[in-house]
Amino acid sequence: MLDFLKKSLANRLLFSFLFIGFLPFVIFLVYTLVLSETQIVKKLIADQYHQVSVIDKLIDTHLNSLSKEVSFLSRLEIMDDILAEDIDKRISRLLKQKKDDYALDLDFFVLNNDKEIISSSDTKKIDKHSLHVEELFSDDGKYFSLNKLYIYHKIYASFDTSKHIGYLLVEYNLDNLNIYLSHEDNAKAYMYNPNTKLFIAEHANLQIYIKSKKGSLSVGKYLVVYEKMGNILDDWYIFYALEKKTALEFFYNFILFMLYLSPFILVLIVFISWKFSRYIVKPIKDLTILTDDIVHSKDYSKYLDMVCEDEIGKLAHSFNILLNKTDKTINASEAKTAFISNMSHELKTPLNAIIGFSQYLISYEKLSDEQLDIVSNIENSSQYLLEMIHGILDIAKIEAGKVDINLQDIDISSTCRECFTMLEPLAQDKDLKFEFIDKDYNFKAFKTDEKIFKQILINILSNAIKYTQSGSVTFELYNTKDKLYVRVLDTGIGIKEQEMDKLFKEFSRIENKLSSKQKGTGLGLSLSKKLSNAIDGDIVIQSDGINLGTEVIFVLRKRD
Amino acid sequence: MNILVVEDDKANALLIEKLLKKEKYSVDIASNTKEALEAIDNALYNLIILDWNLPDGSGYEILQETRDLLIDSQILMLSANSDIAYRVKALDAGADDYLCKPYALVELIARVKSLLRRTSTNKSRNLELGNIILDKQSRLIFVDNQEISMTSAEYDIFEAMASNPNKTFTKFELLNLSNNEYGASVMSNIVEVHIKNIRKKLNNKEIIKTIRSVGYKINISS
Repeated sequence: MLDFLKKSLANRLLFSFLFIGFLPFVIFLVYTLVLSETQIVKKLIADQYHQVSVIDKLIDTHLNSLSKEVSFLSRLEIMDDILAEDIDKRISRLLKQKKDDYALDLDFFVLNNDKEIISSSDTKKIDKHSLHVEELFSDDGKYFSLNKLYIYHKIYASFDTSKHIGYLLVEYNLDNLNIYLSHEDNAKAYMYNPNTKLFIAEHANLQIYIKSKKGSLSVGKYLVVYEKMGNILDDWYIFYALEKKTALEFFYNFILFMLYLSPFILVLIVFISWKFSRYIVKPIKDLTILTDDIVHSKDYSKYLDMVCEDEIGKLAHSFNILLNKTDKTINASEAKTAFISNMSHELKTPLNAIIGFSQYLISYEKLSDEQLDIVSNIENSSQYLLEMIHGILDIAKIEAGKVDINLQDIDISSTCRECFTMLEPLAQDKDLKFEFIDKDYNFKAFKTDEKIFKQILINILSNAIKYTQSGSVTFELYNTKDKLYVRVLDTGIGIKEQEMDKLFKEFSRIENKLSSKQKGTGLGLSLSKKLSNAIDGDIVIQSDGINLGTEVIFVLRKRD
Repeated sequence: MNILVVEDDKANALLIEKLLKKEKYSVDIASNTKEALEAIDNALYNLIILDWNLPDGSGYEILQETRDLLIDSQILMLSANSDIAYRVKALDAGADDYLCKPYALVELIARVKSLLRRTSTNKSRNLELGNIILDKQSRLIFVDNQEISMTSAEYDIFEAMASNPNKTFTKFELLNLSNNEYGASVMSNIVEVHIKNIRKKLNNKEIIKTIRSVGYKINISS
């Protein structure tokens, strides 16, 4: 799973986009589901309170204006008629007029100091007991009787304002307030007096215990808000009951809509993420395809045709510059290799004649000893020259990557023994103990290039014998799980620490008493190292110093 | 036995000519493709030695043309290129043998003889040197009818010398006979060791003479 992400930038981007796309969506869904309902309820309650306070204010204003009307009427000069004989005519007309103005279930009454009805807006209502006049006090004010509100003002004579001549009273049916209360199916406003247990307007029949001046609670399918009323109706409460289902209907519909929509949104997010990640990665992918193509075809004369001007475009541009340089370098290197190769072949032809004629003279002509010596030197030097040409050719080939590597399963033990046998006479000639320790005699098949393997091994072994005057050369073969080791240990002249880095350099030969006697091109070890690298291996050399012997380890990685 | 040598390098052509004449062959030299094709057209050759690189073409083209003309002369290709691909290409096109430059003279002679033997009834036979018998077919050596065990390299060296008595071999020539792939400087003294071993095994120090600082030869006084 992680590999799937590690190996593909496109997949990583895809997952990032999916994450970025899904996260807000999921958060939104959770927020809506869990938090929004509470938020919406809170908002609803606030709205209800607002409604309640609006109703309260309207009612208050209405009743206040009524109270003012009463006060106004009580101060009219006409009220002096209370003291006159044709008392009822003018006042009655006025009161009736006022009642008609209001067009409500209310009645105005004028009472004398004895609290007897002198005049009213409704002439039939003359029973002073029905007005509960016993509630009338000396001061202006109000009182209640069931659902009736009574507001009254004292009347003073206009000619003598200190003379109390009667009362102006209005009987107001609280049911009039219905017009201020909502009567919709899902939202009901009503008034309630807990002392008298009276309701005004249609109520929802809810069991509510009033605990404070205002409050909100959820009762059954209703969300209910109540608040104590001010001023005139101070014993009363306004209730506002909102049906939850209706109030939250939009919200529930929205949630349902989101749930129905979510599969489409998910598909959309996946699609957009996929598209977008491909879109971003496409130039990189194109670049990868092109570079892969160049690497595989080894045609460095190609260039990347990227038209975009973004970072990828810049990368492609830089890559093209690199390609151009690489192409030039490779061309130069190839030219060098071709030159070396041609030169070497051209050298071989005259060299062949030199060697051939030398051998011809030695073999077929009767030469004097001195002549033989001279011709033999010619042949000898030509052979070294030839060997050097072979070495240079090999190195040029390796550097140009043109070594033919022929991999096949070889019997590694018997190949090693073959090389050992081939060189054994050399060691015997020097009375050296030459030993082959095959720790892997059962390790038969090893995939490598036999010719190159042998060439390297013979170079290492013959060097060991060449630079060992006495003692032993031990040659070990062993392997680990993933590597094959050939270890050659000698008791020879060894190598100074400071000479170590010269070892693998072409044409460098470490000078010492023994090596000055030895012939060599100085290419052998360098060539062996390069060949070993070409077959997925390496050569490591260790020595404790002069005359302390040398250990050479030739290691090869196992192939599948 | 007629041999045509197609070689543009005068020195090499002269060398091969001298060598083959010494071996009593009749030799014609052609130094380019045109001369070579003319010669092939005019005469019948038992063997054609073809150099790969020629000024006006290649030995490979001559090889192809010769085979196209259904001329069944033995053909030995010479080339400075030792790549396997070249050898395979030449052999596929009908060459009978392929020799890389530079070659040891003894090897060239051996191959020439071998190729010409294919057309004649001159089969390989046993070689006798005093009490030593060389069985070329089974690669065995007997001294006083007792089989002597020799390594492959030792046998190759001894056979070459015994087949060319009185010829002086340089160390490199002998080295080339057995192993020529692993570097002359690495192996040059191995020849001395082989010679030493051969002498010991034959129990005869006289048969192989050392030519000081040059090489070795087998002396047979006729």
